Amino acid sequence: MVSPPDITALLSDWSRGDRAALNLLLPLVYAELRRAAARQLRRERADHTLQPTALVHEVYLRLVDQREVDWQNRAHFFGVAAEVMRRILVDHARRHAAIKRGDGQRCVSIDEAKDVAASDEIPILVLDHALGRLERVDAALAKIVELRAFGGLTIEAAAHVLGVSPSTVKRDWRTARAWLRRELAPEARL
Amino acid sequence: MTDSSWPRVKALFQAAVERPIEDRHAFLIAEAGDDEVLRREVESLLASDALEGSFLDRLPTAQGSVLDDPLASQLASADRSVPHAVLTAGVRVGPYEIVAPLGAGAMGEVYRARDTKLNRDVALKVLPERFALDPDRLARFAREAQVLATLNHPNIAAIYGLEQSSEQGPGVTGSAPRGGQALVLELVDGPTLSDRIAQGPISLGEAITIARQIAEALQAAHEKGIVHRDIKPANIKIASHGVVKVLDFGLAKVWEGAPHANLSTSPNLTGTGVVERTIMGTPAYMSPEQARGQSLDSRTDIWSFGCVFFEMLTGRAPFAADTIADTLAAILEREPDHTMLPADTPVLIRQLLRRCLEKDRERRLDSAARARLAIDDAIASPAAESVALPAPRSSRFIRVAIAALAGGTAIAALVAWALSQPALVAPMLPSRFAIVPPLAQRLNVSGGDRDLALSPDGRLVVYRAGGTGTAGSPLHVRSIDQLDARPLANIGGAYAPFFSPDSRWIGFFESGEIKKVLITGGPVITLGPVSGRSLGASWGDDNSIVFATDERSTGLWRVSADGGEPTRLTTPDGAQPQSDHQFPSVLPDHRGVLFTIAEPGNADNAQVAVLDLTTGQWKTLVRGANQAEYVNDASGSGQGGYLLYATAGTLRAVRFDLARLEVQSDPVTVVEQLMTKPSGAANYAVSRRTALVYVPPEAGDQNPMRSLVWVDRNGREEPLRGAPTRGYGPPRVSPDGKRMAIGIVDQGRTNVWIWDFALETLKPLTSAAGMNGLPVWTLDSQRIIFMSDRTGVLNLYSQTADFTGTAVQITTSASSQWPTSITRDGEWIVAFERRPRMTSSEIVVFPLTSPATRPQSDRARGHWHSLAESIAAIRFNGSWATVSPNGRYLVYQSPESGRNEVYVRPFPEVDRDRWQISKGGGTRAVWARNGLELFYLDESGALISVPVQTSGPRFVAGTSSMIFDTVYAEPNPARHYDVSPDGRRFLMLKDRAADPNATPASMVVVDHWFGGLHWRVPERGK
Repeated sequence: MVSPPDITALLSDWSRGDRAALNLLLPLVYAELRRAAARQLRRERADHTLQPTALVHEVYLRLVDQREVDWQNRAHFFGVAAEVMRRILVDHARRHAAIKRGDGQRCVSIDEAKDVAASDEIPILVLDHALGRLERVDAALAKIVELRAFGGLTIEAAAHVLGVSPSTVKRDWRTARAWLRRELAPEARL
Repeated sequence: MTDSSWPRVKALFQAAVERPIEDRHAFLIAEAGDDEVLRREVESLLASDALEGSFLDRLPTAQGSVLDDPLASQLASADRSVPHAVLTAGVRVGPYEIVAPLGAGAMGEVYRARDTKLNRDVALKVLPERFALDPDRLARFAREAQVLATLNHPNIAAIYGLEQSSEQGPGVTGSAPRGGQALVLELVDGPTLSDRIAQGPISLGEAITIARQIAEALQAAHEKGIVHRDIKPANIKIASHGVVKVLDFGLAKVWEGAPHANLSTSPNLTGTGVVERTIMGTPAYMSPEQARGQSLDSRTDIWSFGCVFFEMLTGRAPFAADTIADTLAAILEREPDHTMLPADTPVLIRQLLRRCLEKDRERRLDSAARARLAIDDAIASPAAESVALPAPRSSRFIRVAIAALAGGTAIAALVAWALSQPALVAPMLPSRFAIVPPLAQRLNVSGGDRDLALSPDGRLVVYRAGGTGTAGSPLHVRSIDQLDARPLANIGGAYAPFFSPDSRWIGFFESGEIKKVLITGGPVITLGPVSGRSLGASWGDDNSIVFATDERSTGLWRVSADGGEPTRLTTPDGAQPQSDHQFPSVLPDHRGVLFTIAEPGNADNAQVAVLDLTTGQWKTLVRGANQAEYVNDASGSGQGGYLLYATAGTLRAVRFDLARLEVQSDPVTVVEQLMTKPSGAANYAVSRRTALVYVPPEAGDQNPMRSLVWVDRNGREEPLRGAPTRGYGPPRVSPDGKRMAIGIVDQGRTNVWIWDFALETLKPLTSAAGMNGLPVWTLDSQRIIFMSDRTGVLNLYSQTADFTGTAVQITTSASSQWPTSITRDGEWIVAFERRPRMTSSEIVVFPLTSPATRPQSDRARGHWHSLAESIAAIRFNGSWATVSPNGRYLVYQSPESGRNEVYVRPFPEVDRDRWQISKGGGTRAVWARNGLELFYLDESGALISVPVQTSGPRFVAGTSSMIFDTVYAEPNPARHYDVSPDGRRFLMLKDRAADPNATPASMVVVDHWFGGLHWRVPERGK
């Protein structure tokens, strides 16, 4: 078990440009996020969803000594966590969809998914798929969505992580939302 | 779409999305050109942005992560789990026609829609599909909507009802038509409070007035047992005049019980409230009990109100944090940082905020009424109660104008802090409220003089109501403390009202005379003749009335209030031959007369002067100022009074020494935006002591917006394709039928525009101040003759219609001249004119060519004057004459029988014969271009056709028949229609129905207007 100060130090190192720190950081964050997610899921009925930003926040509070970290480091943490969180959620959703099929429940395709309001995990998959498509069209936009949607980063924080201006993030975020919105509701295309 | 086109799509989208929705299409057309695919791509992005974009934008950035929580996205997509249609413009939902998307949230998409039954714009909130599929829920919702619809308060955006019907029309793109469940809501234009906060700090005074209105809204709703549950800046709109409208009252509750598709949240986020608030935006304004998922009562709104008030004052929501978890933790555990409040926040407001933001609701302020009272107390004693901390804001003079439009009743207190000069703070602070006359009695602001008067005792407002065609009296009297206005009897064309000093009489102008009538009614008494149109009148203590007119260089006139021949009081200086004396205001005790010295058509260079009645001399008091009024100081300071005057669209005040007739201080702005007219008239009036009433400038923009329609002989309408809705005057189709010239009113100016039927373009031909209208085409369709008052009087001008030339003045006369027709040989123009001091019109005929080439100079003017009048060899009583296509006859109208009838005379030997065409009233006649038919409007406004024979030895008129009886717009007495060259269709003006959502023309009454003003007395004043 890594103690919180280590994470804090790694974060500081990474934000100063130490790439190796990131390689050490990622597995730690991943492990902790998974643990937190598992805990949460055990507490809930199996078909309940996760609350990703709350999870990330929870993990952040657990891992990072807030007295030692300035907000830029915090932004970097959430930047990493966002990516990790996305993977965790998608994995979980896939497994869960498989379980459903195994249980003899009807198979839910992505397109049908939108007809099944009860399918909590499907939207994550839908979003992930759509994000994958967006990545191919415009990777920067996809990254912004990941940071904001899965990591809960503010515009400013996302701007800091990406090294661009907040106004760019704001513009791109709006563009990405419009793109995704259209992608997720193809029947809405004009 | 290929990936390679994406950068272009993205760039265009990002550029377009910054533009107003209505401009985007044109922008894309311009940018994308022929690239249909590109344009559609961007448009589809814009459409989905419209659905979701505002969701993001109306939130303070600090809460972005909360809003954009993927859980919310999931819920939102669950919401839209059934394919949802994007409604495009033109789609109908019941009687509502979609105009444009406004935005969307989890509550459904919102559109601006046209209520085709009531002819008003509404906001249409189309409910999520899952809603409509649950009959129980829908029934409950319908009941709830009924309750909500009973909420009727000026600070609450109304819920009109629930529309249940399916969409029709071509724009539905969903996979299947759905049973559209749409909430019909009052459409409120204006920024949300969240937009306003994002723009920058809100001054203390403004924040307080906004908060007070929110409290009023909450009070009204809570009294009906309705709790909002989602008070937040994004749900509060600031409409015109600072009127606050709280949106979505009670809807949060209606939504709350929605089936959630088994979604839930992590343990620390339990409670549907959180989820709902998350969907709807942000939990930053949630009450602690809401955060805990407990039952809610009105006190939850009090908390949220406190949050909003706090945010207005500090720029930051008290519990806002980066994440939901942080925000909830702050709401439940942390105290807001009260040190963020501006230093000059009154103690009473600080106390109010603390009591609203009390986490234990048992200890929280328990009613919105108390919140409002606390605000009133703070307003009443700001200086005494404010914290005396040194801060930049404390010395700043903050004045806020707000008006609550409560069907004219709600009175919102006005705040004025003048902390740095406590000695000069008047004990009474200004209060303001708006009078919004009902549509039938709406304020009429046409013409060059003032349109309202305030009784010297401050109790009554008299204003001019209705349009030009309004029957009955245009002058309406309204008591300040009552809702209804009543017309003054028996004065059909009255304008420019003014009061007697004892508030018992109303003076006014009508038909070339100055008149008076008792405010209680009774006979109208004519006082004397007046030449020209009035430009101000004032009734002095000595029972005489001083007035001015637009007749140039005549100065001020005086007439006894008991009647008599007016006498000259002033004559403008010989040194300023062009100057005119206008807008007199008699000072108390007949000490002197304030008036304006101005050049006609150059109101910006006007000066306020005072005439000393003891010496007969006058002197300038303020330059660049117009229309002054004097008001006694009611604060009892014994320092004389105030001079109010208009300058650059504002109303300013200076201290004024009545004994010495001297200005004593620097000006202070009393009203930021005041309606002024091209004549220089400023639409305000004052009482003797403390009250003033004014018309905000928006009223001047209430141009009758009209559309152009072709109407065939069966009455079938077809809109003029591509023509926008504008403030059109009479249209005139060119002889070649290719173009149309038309006057358009915009921002107080009328100019001639040209419409090209083939190109569907509308371009301005003239661009001058004042009136430039009533175009007449020359026979070759190359030139336009029109009238313009650019020299102060309506004279005739000519300009080529190819947009390359400039206007050339072709007549110069002291008479107003209105062009109506051109003779067949193109040599003469037919017009009618109204001479000074005359109210009747005379048809005149001028040569069109020769004088136009003469140089313009002041010396030549006198010569021209006589030239034009001598040239007009033909002259007889009547107006609106047009020459028959073969040039042999003239059709015109004349009131000689007692009412307007249409007549025909031979031309040019007009005295040889006369035939009456209409019986029982007729106006606005014109010939068919084949010369075989005459058209006119009968008394009821129906279009009448009369077959005629103009080619034979004798004029013969057949039996008249009605073509259609639909009454179209009546812009003025002009023939407001034209006939197509083939005579089969008529180009008519159609009034766009009065838009109840548009800013109603209102008057704002301010009492104690000088309260709290900070008078900087200059050194020289000592």
